[in-house]
Amino acid sequence: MKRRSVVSGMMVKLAPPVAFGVFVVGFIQLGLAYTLLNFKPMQLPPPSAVASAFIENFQAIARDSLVTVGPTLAGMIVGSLIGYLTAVFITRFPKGGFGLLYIMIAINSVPIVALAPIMNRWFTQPFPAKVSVVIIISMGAMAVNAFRGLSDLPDESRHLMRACDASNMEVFTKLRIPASLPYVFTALKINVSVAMMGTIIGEYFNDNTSGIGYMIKYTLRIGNRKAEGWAYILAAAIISILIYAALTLAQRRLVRWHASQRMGA
Amino acid sequence: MNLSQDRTEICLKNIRMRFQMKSGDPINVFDGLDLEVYKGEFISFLGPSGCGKTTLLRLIADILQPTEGIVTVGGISAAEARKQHKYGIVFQKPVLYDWRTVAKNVALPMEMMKIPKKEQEEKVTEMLQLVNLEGYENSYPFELSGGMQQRVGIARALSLDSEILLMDEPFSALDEFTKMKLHEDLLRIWEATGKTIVFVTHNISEAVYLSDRVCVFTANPARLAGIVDIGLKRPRNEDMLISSSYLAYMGEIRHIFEAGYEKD
Ligand SMILES: Nc1ncnc2c1ncn2[C@@H]1O[C@H](COP(=O)(O)OP(=O)(O)O)[C@@H](O)[C@H]1O
Ligand SMILES: [Mg+2]
Repeated sequence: MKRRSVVSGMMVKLAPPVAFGVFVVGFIQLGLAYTLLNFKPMQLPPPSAVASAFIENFQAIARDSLVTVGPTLAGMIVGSLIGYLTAVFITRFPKGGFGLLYIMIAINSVPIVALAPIMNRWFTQPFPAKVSVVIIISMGAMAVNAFRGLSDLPDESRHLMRACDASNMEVFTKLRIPASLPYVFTALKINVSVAMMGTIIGEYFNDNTSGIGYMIKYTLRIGNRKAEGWAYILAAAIISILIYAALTLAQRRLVRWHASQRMGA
Repeated sequence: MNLSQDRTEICLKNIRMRFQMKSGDPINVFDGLDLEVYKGEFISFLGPSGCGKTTLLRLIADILQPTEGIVTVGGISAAEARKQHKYGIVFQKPVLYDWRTVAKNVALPMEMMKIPKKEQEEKVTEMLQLVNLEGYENSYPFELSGGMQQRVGIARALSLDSEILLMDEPFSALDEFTKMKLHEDLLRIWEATGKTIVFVTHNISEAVYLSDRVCVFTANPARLAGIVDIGLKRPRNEDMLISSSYLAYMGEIRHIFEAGYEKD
């Protein structure tokens, strides 16, 4: 009974996005996009062509995907870590530390299209160039969200710590850090798409001839390889969804006590 | 003099508490308050909201420090008493840590005192029995009703066997039936343990029913308008709630309260 309700619950959740996907794919595949919206097949290849390009070039796409996933994950992890540690510092030393948050938000709002060419000049290797872009753009969301989770606590939960004669360290380990976990997941989820974007734009501007970003730029320029370009876009979307799903699973395990995990339950 | 010192558990001398408001003038919550709480008594701080009850409890708990005056708890300074875990505290909200199970929430103060795990577990079992929550060790706070959560909070406050229990409107968010049950439980625990209980409430009936003494506070200015000794015999029971002496105490408190305002 319980198992069935979990399954049917998931089906209810998945129904709208699936229906929407089927509608869009069908709309294009049946030619409506071309007749009603005046698209040309070279601008928007039919889904069947994208699918067969995806299958035909699967090995190449997988290879380029790995090139892209590496710096995406590395940059996201390091950037989020820097953001979190900054948030811890600001929470512990709010007077001196608060300016850091503004600096971080300022750095964060430098456009990626400006950042990527700069980093490609700073680093000779493509990997560090891409990772540094991703680090810079994923610090901010984590710093802001984690700071909120670490500091936005009811007075009484801090008073309880004081009544227990907790040290500063214990206030962090027993109260602030666990309380911040739901916010950490929020920031990580924001950072998935941001990080993918950072890597892809980094590759777009890099001279190196691999990675999803480079391949999208390269194939979309060539008349008879446009469907392949779209297959790479599809790969980027699939990678984002997979990372997002992994985060959702981890979140379910680690913060199942949080209200965000009980909606509709 | 010596005799009264022996009886005194908490002593507040000439307390002034000034809050600097963000906008404008500072407000004086207490302007020279003197109060003694005796060992083993059940004492209530009764008054309308905003009269300074929570502030007073926080001064005793060394969560706040007075602008002027001295607070001693168990013969030592409030700060020292807090560090020596002389009191357990229960708040208006249960204040449980959502990520901890019931057992882990109850064990929190013991954990901070580095009490051995085995001993912690035994104590948790004992405390949960005391508050009628056996079998809920591994539940999470969100799985419990408001009344059950507040019981966990009480178990946590009792877990270190501190001599003093400070309670800030612990039952004011609960329904009447749950509240009645918790009154019985609290009195039973108090009688079994001989603790000193300082109980903050804005409910006259609750204060009379539970307490040995009721301190009646008025707001604006925050002032101790009077202290009423409640002579109802122990153990208390619900029949007393309709007795004439009970009603007389309620009337006396109302009178003190009104007179407290007429003075200005
Ligand atoms: N941290 C604070 N800063 C400023 N004013 C405060 C603070 N805490 C309490 N007060 C003020 O002190 C008065 C008493 O508050 P409180 O002790 O919470 O009253 P009660 O618990 O009786 O409702 C109120 O006027 C309140 O606004
Ligand atoms: Mg209060």
